[in-house]
Formats: sequence, structure tokens, C-alpha cells
Amino acid sequence: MKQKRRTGLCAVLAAVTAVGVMSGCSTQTKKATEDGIVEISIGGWPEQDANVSYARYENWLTRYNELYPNVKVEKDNWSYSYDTFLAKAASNMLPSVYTTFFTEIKKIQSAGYAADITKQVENYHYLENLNEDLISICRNDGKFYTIPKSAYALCLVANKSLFKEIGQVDENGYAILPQTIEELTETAVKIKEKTGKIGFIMPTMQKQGGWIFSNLAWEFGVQFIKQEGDSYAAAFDSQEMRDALQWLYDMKWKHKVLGDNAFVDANEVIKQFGSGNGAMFVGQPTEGKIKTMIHGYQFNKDNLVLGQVPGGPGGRYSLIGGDVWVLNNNLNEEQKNAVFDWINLIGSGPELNDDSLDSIDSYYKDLNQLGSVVGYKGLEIWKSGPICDAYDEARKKYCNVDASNFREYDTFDNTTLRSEEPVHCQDLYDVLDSLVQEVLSNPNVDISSIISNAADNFQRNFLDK
Amino acid sequence: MSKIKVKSLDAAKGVLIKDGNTGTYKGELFRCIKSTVKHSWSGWLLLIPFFFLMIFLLWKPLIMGIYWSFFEMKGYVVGEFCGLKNYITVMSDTAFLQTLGNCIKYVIWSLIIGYMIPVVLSIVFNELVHLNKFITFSIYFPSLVPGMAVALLWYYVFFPNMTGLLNQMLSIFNIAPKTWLQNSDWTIMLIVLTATWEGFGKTTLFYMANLQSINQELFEAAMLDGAGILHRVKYVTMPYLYPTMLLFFVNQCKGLFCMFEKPWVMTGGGPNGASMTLALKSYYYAFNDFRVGESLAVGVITFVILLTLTFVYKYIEKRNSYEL
Repeated sequence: MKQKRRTGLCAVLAAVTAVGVMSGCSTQTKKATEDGIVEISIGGWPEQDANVSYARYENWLTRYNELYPNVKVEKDNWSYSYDTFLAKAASNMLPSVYTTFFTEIKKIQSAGYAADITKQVENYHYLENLNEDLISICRNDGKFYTIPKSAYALCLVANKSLFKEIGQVDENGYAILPQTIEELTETAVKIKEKTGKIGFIMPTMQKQGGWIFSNLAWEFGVQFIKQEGDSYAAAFDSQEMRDALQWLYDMKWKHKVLGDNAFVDANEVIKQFGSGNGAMFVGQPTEGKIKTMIHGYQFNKDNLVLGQVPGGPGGRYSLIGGDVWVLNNNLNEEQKNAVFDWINLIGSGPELNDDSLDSIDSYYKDLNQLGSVVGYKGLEIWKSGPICDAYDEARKKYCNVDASNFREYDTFDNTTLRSEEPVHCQDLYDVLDSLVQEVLSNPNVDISSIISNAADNFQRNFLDK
Repeated sequence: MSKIKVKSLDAAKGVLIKDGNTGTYKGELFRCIKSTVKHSWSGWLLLIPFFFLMIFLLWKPLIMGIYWSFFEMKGYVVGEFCGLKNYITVMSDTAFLQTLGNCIKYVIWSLIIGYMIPVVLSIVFNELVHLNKFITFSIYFPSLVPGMAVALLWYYVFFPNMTGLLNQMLSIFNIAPKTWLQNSDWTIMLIVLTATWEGFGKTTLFYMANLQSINQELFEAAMLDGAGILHRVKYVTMPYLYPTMLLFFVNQCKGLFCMFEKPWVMTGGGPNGASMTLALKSYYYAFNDFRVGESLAVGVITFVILLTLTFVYKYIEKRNSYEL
């Protein structure tokens, strides 16, 4: 009897454990269509404790359910991140739609995780309304795999209170921003001498260093890649590149206006600037970053100034960036349409109606209530017309800062907007990261030699393959 | 241990041959397995789920990883067979040799800095009469701190300006601040120092447990023969510690060779690739660049190197067990 009981117990335990093991092997797939119901999931859904944003999303959902009763929307809190994306994609657990950055488009697309949405882009009138510069970023071989959600051009972000301390303000108290690389150096030196703060914050890690440096190098006239027939060649073993790196070297070792730490990622940039320890950086004024500065580091939003990236001997350029919508590659046409209807409803599409106008209004209203910055437009994703007017109107209505602090950034006068390099731009940023790190960590660096090696390595490791 | 195994096998063989009055050797073997399973089938039943667990969590990823490394990968979707292309891409990368060299540097520095410290400390602490428990806890304490927290903690200790703890301490003696992790000549050594701080307590405890199992009469006999402390350590303690030391030697080599979290948190592999490891490179290939094929190829290369090291360890262990 005892033996039988023991045997039974063993069998139950074994079965339970085996079921437990096997249950981990299932994959989650979104049902395409069942009984006429279309199921989609929306990524980046705010957490319930996100107060205002959560309520806004819930209101959108209520309205969407009224308009499209055949669509079942699932909320998904996941937002794009490097660490989690591949695992989510491999286990087929990506939401139907999510947003990512311009820099990720090619990676996701070439990994085969983005749906072809060419048909929807045409049917939902994106082509007629999108800013031409952005169409080329989202289109690949005549097909669309992403659509823009928001856009920006890299800019010079400055702390007005430090400019006031060094007396670099006009008669109305607005910061006089440097317009050239030389002026940037001079201003940074003044900041360092008079306030002891970091004059210029330069990222160096996680391809952020390469990304920002590529824009700065354009000001010196650097050409990174040139096309030779069907192939590409590394073109940055040049005097312009030596000048650009020499400028960075001087900022660090001669003028001593950069921070002591040579391992600076995007978060560290925001930390140094937001906590008032740095006066300027070249970066992107995204909502998330500004929110972190204000709420994470108590940065006074009235001190935030945005200007254009200073120009140099090679011209004045600004790299375009932003967020795009990506649709999961396993969606059918009905699901893709349902996602596009959602995007329209929340005011991110080209269609203007009462619902989308309400959404645009509620977006800026929430930003205002959250104490974030409302008052600059940056780069519009739409061609000028009624959509841009609607955004302008809502922005003016909820503006909570002195818009004059952003006047330079909003006009882009004298600045040429540029897209990333055509091929291997992520690999290029990686190579440039290393160059920036070497220059900022080694006072005895041989700049010519490291540029030659980097260009040679970039050619052999990426362009020749 | 191995000697006993060999003897048992011989004995088992003998039984099989002697008792095999009708069947072949194969038949007897089958009967023997059947009898073993029959007598303890409930135990075997309990093992089944863990067998599956082992297959799904250990063997399947390993075998699939090796298999997929020979294919074009689109994310985690397997494409066409591409032979050694992923390996050629990885190994022809101009940074590959530097990365491999870094891994070897990690191992060498860990042997210089961290290998003998636990051995020496365990011998010293074993001689202590008082405060044993306090010292044991004190040295084990760093091992309780999560690896990421250790890396962050030391990152700030080594911070290059005056907010860094080490630089603050140096300033007391009017020594100019150092760049620490940002000096490419020092970065691996400092990361190894961090790893040693985290791990030496645990290893010391293993050695101490080993030392306490030594028959005290051996020490007494050695003392009667006039052996001083150094001779006792050399002729009594060390021979007992040797197998454990060998095990930790291999473990340390393996652990440091595929170092990941410390360089990831403390330097990101920089400056200019000076602290990059194969494990970190594999991570960057997969999660930063979505180049899964190359990432797997780096993983397989690391696996082969570590497997070779394990075989060397097994060979040395076997040879020594015969000598004992």
C-alpha cells in the first residue's frame, strides 16, 4: 500500500513537472481573425500609474471601440529597447504596432520583423501629406516598412542660466547661442572659466558618440562614405576628419571644457545637463529626454534653450532623427488597416477629423499638465497645410514656456537637414565611438594614425563585405 | 576517485561475462539496465521531467546555436545554409584578434591578482583561533552583493574625476587624479580587481572547508618530525588543496575568459575596444546589431576554446588521480 502510494505520488510529481516544462515551449501568436473580430495589440501603452497619459489612452480606446466595434484592442506596455526587442520578436510576442527610432529602421527591416505597409501608406494618404525628407527614410526599394510618428533635427541644447552667468545674453535676456564651431569653443571655455561647469557634453558610448560626432564632423566638411559605381568606399581618412578630431581633442585636453569621464552614454548626457553641471550638448529634444531632465533632475524648463548645431568650414548641417511606427510582420491586411485606423484616431495620421483634432489637443494638454515643455515644434512630419496648422494651434494653446528660447531651432535658417549615411551607418557610429573614446581618453593619441586604421577597418569589416 | 570507477567497471564487466550463460554481452547489458530500472523505476520516473528540462534548457539551445551558426539568420529566422561565412565574417573582423587577446589578458590578470589570494587567506584563517566566524562572514560578504551592483559600485570608485573615491583618497596625499578605467593599459586589470573582490570570499570558503577536512594527526606527525609552518603547508596542506586548486584554476580561466557583465557596465568594452570580450562582442552582435549568425559564431568559438580547456583539466585531473 505504502509502495503504491509512493509510486502514485512519483507519477503525479513527474507529470506536473513535465507539464510545467512543456508549457514553457508554447508561443504566443495573435489571432488574425476570428468570427469577424480583428485583434490588434498596441505597444507603448502607459502604465496605470502614469495618470494623465493612461487616461488619455483609455479615452482613445473607448472612442476606437465605438467607431470600430469589430476590432479588439489589447494593451501592451512594452516599448522598444535594444535589450528586449530580439527576444520579443523571436518569441512572436511583439505588439501589432510599436514605435522605434529612425536609426533602428534598417536593422528591424533587414531582420524581417517589419510588415510591408506600402498599401496602407497609399490608401491612408500618407504619400500626399508626408514631409518629403522623411519619405525617403521610410521607403526602401519602393516599399514602406515604417511611417514617421515624430521627427526632429539634431540641435544645440543649452542651459540659459549658465549663459546668464557668463553674460552671454541679449538685451531681452535671451541666450546668445554659438553659431560656429569656433564660437562653440569660445562659449564652452567661458562657461568653464567663469562657472567651473562642463562647457560641452560629448557622448562617447553605445553609438551615441559616433552619432553626434558624425553631425559635428559634417560641419568640418567630412565625407564618411562615397559611392564608387555599385560599391562604397570609406572616405574619412581626410584632412577634414583630422581637423574635426583635433577640435574634439583640443576641447578635452587643451581647453579642458569636456567632462573628466570618457564613458558617457545618452543617460549620462541628460544627467549632466539636467543637474546643471553642463552648459551645452548636441542632441535631440525628445519628449522623453526633456521629461527626464525636468522631473528626474529638477531642471527648470524656463532655462531650456534650443538652437541649431553650429556651422563650420564645411557648412552647417543637422541630422534628421525621430520616431517611426512599425507594424508586426505577421499581421494580415485587416489588422494592418485596424492599426492605421488607430494611428489616425490618436492624431498621428494625416486624416483630420473631430477625433484626431481632439487627440492632438489632448496630447498637448497632457504635456502641459505634466509640466513638460510645450512651445517648440521642431521638425514637422507633415507638409505645411491643415495638419501642421492644427498642431500649431494646439501648441500655442498649451504653450508653457517662452517660445523665443526656441526660435532658432524652429526656423532651421541656414541649416541643411541631412539623413544618415546610406549604408552601414550603425557600424560607422560604432567605429566613430571608438575614435571619440580614444581621443578623449588618451592625451598622447596619434590622430592621423587612428583615423587611417579606423577607415581601413571600416572598409574591410563592413563596406567590402 | 577515478581509480575506484575503473575497478567498478572491470568488476561489472566480469559479472556480465561470467553470468552470461546464454545471452550475448549486449543481451546481458540490456538485462542489467532493465533490472536497474525495474528496481528503482520511481526514481527514474522523477528524473524524466528534469531530463526534458536539461534537453530544452541546456542541450537544445547549445546544439541549435551551433547548427544555426552555419546559416544566414534574419533575426531569429533561419535562412539559407552559408557554411563558414559567419565564422569568416567574425574572424576576419579587424577587432577579433584584439578581443581574443583581451580575453587572454583577463585570464592572465585574474591568475596574477586573484588566484593565490584565496589559498593564502584560507591557510591563514584556518590557523586562527578567535574571530573565525566574523572573518568568514566578512570575506564572504562581497559575494552577497549582486554582480551588477558590484560593477556599478567599483565604476564609481574608479570614476576619473574628483568624485571618484580612489581619486579622493589620492588627493589626501596630493597625488593628481588618475583616469583609471579610461586608461586602456589599466582597464582590464581594474575590471579583474573588481571581479576578484566579488569572488575571492566564496573561493576562500571552499578552500577553508577543504582544509578543515584534513586529518589533524598528519599535522601533529609532521610537527613531531620537526616540520615548521612552511614545511607543514608544503607537505601536508598543499597536496590536499591541489585538486581544488586545479578545479578553481580551470573555473577561473573559464569565468574570466567569457567575462560579460563587468566590462558591459563599467566600460562598455572601451576605451576603443580595450576591454572588449568575446561574450560582450557576441551580445553586441545579437542585441545591438541584430546579427544573430555572427553572434552565434562568436559563441561557438568561445565554446570550443572553453571545451578545450575543460578537456585539458579532465586530462590533468585523471593523470593526477592515478598518481595519488
